[in-house]
Amino acid sequence: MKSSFTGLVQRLRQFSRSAAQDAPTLPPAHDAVTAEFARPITLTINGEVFRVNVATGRTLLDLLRYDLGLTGTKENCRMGSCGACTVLIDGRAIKSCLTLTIRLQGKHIQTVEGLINKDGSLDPLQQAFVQQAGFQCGYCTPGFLMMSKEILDTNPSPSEDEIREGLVGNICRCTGYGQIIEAVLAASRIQVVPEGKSLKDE
Amino acid sequence: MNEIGYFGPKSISEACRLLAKYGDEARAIAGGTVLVLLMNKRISRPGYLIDLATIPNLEFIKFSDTAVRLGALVSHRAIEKSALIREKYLILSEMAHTIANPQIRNMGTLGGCLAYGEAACDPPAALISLGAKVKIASSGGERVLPVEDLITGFYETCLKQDELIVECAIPSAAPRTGAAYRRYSSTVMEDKPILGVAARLILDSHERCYDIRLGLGAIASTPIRPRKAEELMKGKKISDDLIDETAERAVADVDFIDDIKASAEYRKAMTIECLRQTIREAYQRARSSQTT
Amino acid sequence: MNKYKAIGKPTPRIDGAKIVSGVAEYTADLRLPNMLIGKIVRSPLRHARILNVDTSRAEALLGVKAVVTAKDTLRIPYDFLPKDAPIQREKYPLAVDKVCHVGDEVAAVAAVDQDTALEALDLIRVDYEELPAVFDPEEAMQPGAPRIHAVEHNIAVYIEKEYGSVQEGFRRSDVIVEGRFATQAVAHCTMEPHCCLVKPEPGDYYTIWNSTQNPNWNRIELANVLGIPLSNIRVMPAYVGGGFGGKSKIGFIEAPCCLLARKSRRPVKIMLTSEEEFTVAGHRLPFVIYMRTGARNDGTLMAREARVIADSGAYSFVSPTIVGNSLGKFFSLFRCPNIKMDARLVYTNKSPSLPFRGFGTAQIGVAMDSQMDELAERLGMDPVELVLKNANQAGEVTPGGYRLTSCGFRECVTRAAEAIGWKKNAGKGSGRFKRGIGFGTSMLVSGAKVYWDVDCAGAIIKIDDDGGVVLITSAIEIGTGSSTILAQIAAEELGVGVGNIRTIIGDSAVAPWDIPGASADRTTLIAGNAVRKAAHRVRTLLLEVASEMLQVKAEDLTLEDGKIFVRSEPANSLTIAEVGRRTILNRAGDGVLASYIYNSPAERFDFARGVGDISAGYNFACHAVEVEVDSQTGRVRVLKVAAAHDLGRTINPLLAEGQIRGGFAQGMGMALYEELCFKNGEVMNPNYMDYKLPLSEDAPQAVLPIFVETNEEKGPFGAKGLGESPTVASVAAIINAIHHAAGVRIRELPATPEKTYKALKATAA
Repeated sequence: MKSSFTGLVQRLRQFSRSAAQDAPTLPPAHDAVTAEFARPITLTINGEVFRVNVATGRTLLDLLRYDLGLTGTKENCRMGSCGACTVLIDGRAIKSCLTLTIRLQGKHIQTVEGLINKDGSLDPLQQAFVQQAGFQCGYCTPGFLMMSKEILDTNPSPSEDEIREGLVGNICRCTGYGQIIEAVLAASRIQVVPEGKSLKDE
Repeated sequence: MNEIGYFGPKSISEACRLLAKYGDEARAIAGGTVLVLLMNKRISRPGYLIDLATIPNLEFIKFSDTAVRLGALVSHRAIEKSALIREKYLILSEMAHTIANPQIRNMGTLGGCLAYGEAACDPPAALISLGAKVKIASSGGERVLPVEDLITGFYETCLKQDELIVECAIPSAAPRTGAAYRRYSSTVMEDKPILGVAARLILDSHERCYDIRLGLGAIASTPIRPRKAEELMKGKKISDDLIDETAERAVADVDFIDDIKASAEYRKAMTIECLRQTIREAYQRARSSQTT
Repeated sequence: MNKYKAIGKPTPRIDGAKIVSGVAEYTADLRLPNMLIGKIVRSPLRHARILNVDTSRAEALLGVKAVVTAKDTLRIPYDFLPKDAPIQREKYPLAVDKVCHVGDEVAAVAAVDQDTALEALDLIRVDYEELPAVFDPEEAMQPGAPRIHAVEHNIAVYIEKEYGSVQEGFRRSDVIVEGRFATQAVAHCTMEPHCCLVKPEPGDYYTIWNSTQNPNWNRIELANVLGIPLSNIRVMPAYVGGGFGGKSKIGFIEAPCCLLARKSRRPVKIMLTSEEEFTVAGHRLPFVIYMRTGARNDGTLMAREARVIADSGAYSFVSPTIVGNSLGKFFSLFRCPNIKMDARLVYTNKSPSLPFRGFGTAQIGVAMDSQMDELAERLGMDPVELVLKNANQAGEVTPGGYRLTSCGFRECVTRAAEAIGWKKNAGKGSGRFKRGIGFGTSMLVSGAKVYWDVDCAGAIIKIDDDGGVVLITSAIEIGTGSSTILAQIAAEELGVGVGNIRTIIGDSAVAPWDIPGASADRTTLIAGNAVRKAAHRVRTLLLEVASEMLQVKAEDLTLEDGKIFVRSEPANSLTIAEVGRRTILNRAGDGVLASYIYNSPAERFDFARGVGDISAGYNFACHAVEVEVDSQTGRVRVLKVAAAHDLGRTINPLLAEGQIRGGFAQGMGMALYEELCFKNGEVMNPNYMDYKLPLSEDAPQAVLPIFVETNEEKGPFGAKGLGESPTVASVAAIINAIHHAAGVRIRELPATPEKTYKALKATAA
């Protein structure tokens, strides 16, 4: 194959054409397993246990948004580039558009809906994003919040550069990032949760 | 939608048998960062998914006196964050740190990355320079292959239908070894580099180059190990001129990718530049430390 | 000193908690019972006649509820401009007899779920007869080029305007610089894709949720192409996940979505994929500019001439006014006695261009500011001094017809230069990393009366039973924080705290008429004035009723911090709730409720003469940017930005800083990274892996906002618009900084590392 592709989509198309390789002729397998087309999965989302029956191809993003109505997690590129769909699985930030739900048996998921404190007050990260204007249109914000949460959970006092590096998987078209980074820095400095503004005030 | 059958095999051999049985209809899934993308875009529509995450013990990082062995399902993030890898194979953790972004590093696996044969990614060049080998399992047995022989073209590998990469082994560094990896992209951070180059250099007792291995990634349809350039340096006293000459020699026969991200001409110029810096850095590291 | 209580304060977004807790509802998040998913059948070809569309197999597919083609339409093109506007009307909701670009809308399907809808797309068979196509605008103007629409040489619009005599001006110039500049197609990259949800009701009524900057423009267009009264269409508010101009007009999905809803009698939702966003949802209008600038030895501009060829893509739509606006800036920012522009908007077989933050002024600005920099160099003058010498100022009427009632342009230039340390750092860098400083300027409007004879917005303010203030605005929130800004204006005028005000964005049936939506930097001035005047009415009413209650003259009363009291005797007071309740008793039929529709006092643009004082206030800006050029790779890093903006009055410095930082990042993307790469009419990089835009590691932290307050007499508390200039002023500043640092001038954007590297090599050779 010549080195003359032009972009990712072209490369991927190329890939799908060339993927078929000679299948070896082997004796038939005798496996106990048979294919399942859907499967009941038990997983915990924001502390709540869910039992869902999911088809193999169902992504976590679609499960959250379209099956469970948790639309705080946003949808855009569906190829893991924009970061709007970032959620935490067992504390690790991942892109839910590239995650198949069927593989999540027993996992703990946290989404933006799970950030808020039980009494309805905002968590320090959320407060900081509001105070520092760490968002404009707000569509990318849930993804930034979840990625920032992983950053702070693994490194409670990150430097500005560490925050910048940590957020490269999230695109924001509105803010130019400066106030987002200030927000994460500010959140890292909040030691005790001050009296937050209650959602009920909204 | 076409319904997709799901298998959660419990062993490597079971996974290989399933791959053999369902042939082109089946896809093994590791981290999923490429396959699910392809499924989302309806470019790949597999009939069956064979989940490698249900196989126990594929996520190991094991150190021995002679090598480190990385299980196929070790995530890039695990490589990046492992304190022991950082200590013994700094270049690996530096390389892993440059891959795409934190979320993708949390999801993506070393085995999955290699099995897709993507040229424009970071690991192959670094692994080639370190002399890494992959262990491949199939329903018929196992074989071991140097990383440079694995990828044969754009998204093409020499893996057969029923074969799976199960681990990647990287030999321990000899004393007086230095290694470095450098990627280049036109903005500070891009998912995929325009190029990635790696060098591992061993000095002899006379400060001469005892051995050098170079790896070039993302510049052509496959990652490249420029053996002729390596030969240029071996046994010689290292100088800036020699490094320059080696860097130029390394790219002399390369059929550079020419695409919207960079012309072949620019890729070539940047590869030479990065290679110079990388060899120099590897040399400095070899001089200043006993191990990588 | 700030004499205000709410104005000028860094108030965080009043709806912030909603956004950060994930409960803010975007159109993308909405679903209705019985809702269908719509998808568009798009042309795979660049230019072709449609011979036949066979939808029968798709219609027969289980789960498909409607398929629409041009047969289901009135075959009326989109048409929003007044009849006297010299524009083309060639874009139909669904292609009538030919397609003109890859991705052109041919048909649409609605099905019970997305997979079925996608399957149905594959079953629709369209027979085409392929036609020759052309992609380069300069080639498209040549004789014999394929003709895309019924105009000669593919020229959709030709604009020519001369003031003075450029021939004479150049003759009297001591120095002349000239050059060709080209700007690229930049994608809007809104994080929420275009998305709309249409709920049909019997009698051809439609309720629509739409990710749009401009609900009423949508209504005008939809009424036209659907052949129904505008009042039948109700547009509901929803959060909009970014616009930047890409959603400032009707999109290309609303009409097909309505047609599907009409036919299926069920709610239908269409959301573009991110590939569709990159390929068919519009991009910044690319310009080729041949510009000449002449000056006297002392730096006085004598003549400027620009020949513009703008690449409209397959349809012209709003692009004629984008070109017109670039002319407005060219004629108005700098004083020049002889000035001329001729501009051609040219069709090519590519997806259509659309407005993008700056509305034509970023494109022309690159050439203008680059040539000012070049001219300074040729004259041996300080570029700052050259700009100051020729800058327009308050009181002038420009050749474009703009009356500059307030103008802090010179102060912007001086303060930006001072803040970046211009004098001190004037030396060029040496070694591998070279540093330099460049300047870019901007002039934009605060509302523009171009399309319609009104440029208006409205507000309704009412007092709740507990004294809370409800502000119903017609201004939709696209992320600028307009709801907060308007609450601050209402709070200041009324005399209550911002926290007492709840801003509600009214749907089109509730909110007063507002056109043209969240565009043209107009919300603060236009919607802000409406709010201020409505608040004033409410305040007056409250004081009147209070005067009856307290038996004192209304003029002896005041309303401060939410309390009404006698000035000389503050203890003699009433709460707003008390007065509000009494209003209903005292004034039969009335409660405390007031509304106001503010219409800009500007003139409507005169298409025949090509002039008009179109805006109530012109905003100005100057950015000074310091960059570092890596001479070994050509990579450019932005180190520091001093961004001075004449915004009349800073209502909210926190949110204004956000506009500046975000605007800068977009300007930086245009200057350095971003380009939709077309190859034979097809976009080669329709995804975020191949289309590079600034990420967190690219954008600089050192952005210093400088607010120049000129107190525009027509603005609420003196405020003007801000949103677009931060992008515009950044582009040329970066290009000039690269030149200052490394001695290379990039005239074709973006200044990618490769381009800069090659220019450096060419200079060295």
